[in-house]
Amino acid sequence: MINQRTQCILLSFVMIGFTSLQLFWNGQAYLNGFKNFHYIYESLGLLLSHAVHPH
Amino acid sequence: MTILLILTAFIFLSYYLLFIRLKIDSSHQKIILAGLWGLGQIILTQLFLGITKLLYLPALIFLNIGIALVLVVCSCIFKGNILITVQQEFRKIAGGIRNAVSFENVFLLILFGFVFIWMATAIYFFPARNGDDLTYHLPPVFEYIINHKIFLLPVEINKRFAFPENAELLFMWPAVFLHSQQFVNSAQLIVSLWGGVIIYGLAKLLGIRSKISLFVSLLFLMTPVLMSQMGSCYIDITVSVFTLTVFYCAVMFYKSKSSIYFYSTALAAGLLWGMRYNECIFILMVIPFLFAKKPFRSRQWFGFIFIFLMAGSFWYLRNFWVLNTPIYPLPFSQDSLSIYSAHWENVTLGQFLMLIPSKLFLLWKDTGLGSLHGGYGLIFLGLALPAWFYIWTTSIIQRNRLNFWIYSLLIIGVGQLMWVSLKDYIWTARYSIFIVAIGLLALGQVLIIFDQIILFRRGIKILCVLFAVLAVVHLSENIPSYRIDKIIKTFVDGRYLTQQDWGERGSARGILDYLTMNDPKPLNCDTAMIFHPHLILSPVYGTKLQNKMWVFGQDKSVKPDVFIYLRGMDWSLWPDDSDLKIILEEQRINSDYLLVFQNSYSFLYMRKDFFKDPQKMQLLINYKKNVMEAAPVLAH
Repeated sequence: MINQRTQCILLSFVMIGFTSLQLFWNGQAYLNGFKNFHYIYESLGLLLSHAVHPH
Repeated sequence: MTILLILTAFIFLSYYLLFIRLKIDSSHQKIILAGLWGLGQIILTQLFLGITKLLYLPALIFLNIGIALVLVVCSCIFKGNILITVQQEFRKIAGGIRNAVSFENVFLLILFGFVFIWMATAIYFFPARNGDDLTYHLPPVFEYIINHKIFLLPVEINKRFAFPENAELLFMWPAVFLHSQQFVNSAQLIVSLWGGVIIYGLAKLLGIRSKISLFVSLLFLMTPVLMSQMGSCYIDITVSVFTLTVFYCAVMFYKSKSSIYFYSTALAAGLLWGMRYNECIFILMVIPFLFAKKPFRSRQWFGFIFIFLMAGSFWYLRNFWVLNTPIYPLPFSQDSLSIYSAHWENVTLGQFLMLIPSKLFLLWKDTGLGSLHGGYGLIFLGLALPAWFYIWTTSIIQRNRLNFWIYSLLIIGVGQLMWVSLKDYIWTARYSIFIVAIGLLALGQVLIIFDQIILFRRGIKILCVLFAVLAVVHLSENIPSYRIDKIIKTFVDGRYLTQQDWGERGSARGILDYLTMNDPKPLNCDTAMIFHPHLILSPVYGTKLQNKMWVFGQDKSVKPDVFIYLRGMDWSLWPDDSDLKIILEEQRINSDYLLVFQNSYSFLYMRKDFFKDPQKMQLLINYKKNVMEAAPVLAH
């Protein structure tokens, strides 16, 4: 039986492999989110300020 | 709105109080059970009133208050001071929260708080706007509300009207109170939160300590497909959460032998069966849990079957009564939609087996990411899936039956997706969102097993938090869009007139909605889309459900008051043999109608009589001034 530390190392390697593949396939898609994300918190801020000080 | 919120809270709290008095140990167990029975009450009272043609708001309110009051009275007759019990409960909840606090959990809670506010804002401003919402999840709900009864809409118009609709009755709950579409897409957001508690409960059940349990339940809420569907009227979150509830209750019964969980399993399974045809697979899977413990008396099994049938059988009986088959369309037939709304491919067994690796690869590649059809996310596919392999294999080696059964749910979840044809696979992942929860539970167990290896533990947690942030950020790129910036700007500028005026295609619906919003008499409306007559129906009802659908009316000899055509102006796109093209031609030359609006996506005809009222013309001018200044054409 493989000891726990070795099991953990093997599992870590598999996780790194799986994650790398995911990042290779979809990493750019995730990063694209940063292009538009500022609109979200800016508009929520705008809504909040409008609620506090309506025109 | 106030009545809706108070009554919903009252229903939930009445069950919570009952489960306090029935000595259910932990607060999360009580939340899970109160959520299950509360949602069950909401669904079944609407169903009961709908079947008996009494689906009126006062009847619904009095029936639900009545049931909740009975529960409160029952809770009060138990021995012991109720106030002391409630105080103890508050202390217990505070203690539980203290136990679960950690740096990463606080960060994820703040992150989810942001997502919640974002989603709530989107739900408030945006209409239901996704294909399935508009075509078959919502039109039956609106017809039930308008006609005060539950019945089968014509399947010739859309076969999917015959699907079971327990989940849709959750969309109906706010709509029937407000007589409005405005908050119809809020149900899945609430169910998601409750789903988070169920993941927490399952994690605790597997012996995972509070901090990690909360961690995995928060990660579940950050799953891309889950966030993507939170503001929609798709039913996949609801179905997945109920699947997990069935398992939770069954395993709790297996462990505690409590009859509360026995009957709760029946209710959860019945409700689930009444949401989607194929969910009976999971009900069969939990039967061993129920039989594994002491044999039950026939009276209890009778109670189980009664609750199960009461909660889910109506839709099957209705189909059998009207269509002579409980399941419609019949699965695996040539023209069928399969057991989902996706298509079944007619292949031999060999071809079917050969396609499995391709399908698994597409699933693994997360092809649906960025839409509400898929997106299991980096945490599940990168970290939790290897953890699941590890835990599932270990459960076999150690002969841990309970773990084996719980973790095998992932295989069943993936297996059920294999029936979908390869060409439809891009939108398949959403049918089994619960497998993400199973993977995350395995990740939680792995964190406990390798707790002593600090580098591993911290590395996993940091990666999970980073990937959760990426998933939230990615949501701003989602289709359908959760980009709230333009609509908030419109609102702040005072130009936000109607929820239905969303996107370019929304303009024709937006005008119709704005012009008719306060009309006491409904307009008879018809809508068509190229190749699909009467497909996208729900926006035409209007925000306040003020309009009727001509196609569902009895008298077809009377022409509709309104026509909305989508993807319209290029007539070469319309098939030559289409009746709609002829209708369009007629419409164009018919002097009774006015072309009120047209753009490259849609055009709107209304009866000229409608504008005899000078206020209507004023509204149209107001609309043009406020909303459509940048729009291409406004025809008079």
